[in-house]
Amino acid sequence: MRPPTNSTTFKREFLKKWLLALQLCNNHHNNNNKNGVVERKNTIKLSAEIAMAAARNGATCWSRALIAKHSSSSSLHNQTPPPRHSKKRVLRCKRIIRRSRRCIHHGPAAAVVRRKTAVLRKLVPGGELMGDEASLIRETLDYVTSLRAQIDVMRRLARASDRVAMCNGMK
Amino acid sequence: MSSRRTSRQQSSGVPRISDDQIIQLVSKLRQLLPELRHSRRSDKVSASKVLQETCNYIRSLHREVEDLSDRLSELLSTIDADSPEAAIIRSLLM
Repeated sequence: MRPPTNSTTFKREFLKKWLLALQLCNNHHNNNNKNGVVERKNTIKLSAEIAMAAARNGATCWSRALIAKHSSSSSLHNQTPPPRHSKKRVLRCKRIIRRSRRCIHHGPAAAVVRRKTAVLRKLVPGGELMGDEASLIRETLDYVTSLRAQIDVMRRLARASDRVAMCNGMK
Repeated sequence: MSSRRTSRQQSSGVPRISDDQIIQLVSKLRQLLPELRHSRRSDKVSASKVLQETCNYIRSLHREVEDLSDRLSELLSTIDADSPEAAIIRSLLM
């Protein structure tokens, strides 16, 4: 798994892809006259998630899992790359990993760790596919860093839009 | 018990992950978590606590993305992608 080169580079990549996705969605919606606030929010959230995963360039399991997830169901189907994991392969991987993961740790403390690890697997995209704890933790570290970068960019955009709205209001 | 572990590993061909590796990764995780980062204690925080805090943190990050999406959906609805406002926003962010 390649580490992200640079937080700023990642944020720039993310922003580029996100703005592109938003523009495409705007065009799509303008054609269909679907302009509800909820629609828009889902579009923003969805395109941000896809952009964050795409900005990672397939270097991590979580990013590939997100792209695969959205490839099969999203409204942006012209933009997402083909899924790397078909559903059948994903199910096979899950079965194999479950078989090999039986009872690595023993004892009540280890049971707690196992439970928490299971929860973490559900929170990190593709977590169910990561065989060993070390991979899971590595992916978690990368996922959390990427989420923070995504949030930072979104926050700045919100602040900038606020400023623009204020300037327009003062005209 | 250990013989069972060894034989299973030999059959699956998975390299043994050292405890040190896991400890290192868990401490990296700990650095990221706002709740635990400032803890002065050089004692190890338990792995389950780090995992728990990580799960909580990821959930709070997801919530923040939700809130920001809400906020942005209201703000961006008034901005057309080709307009000068959009260009301003882009330049403010770069």
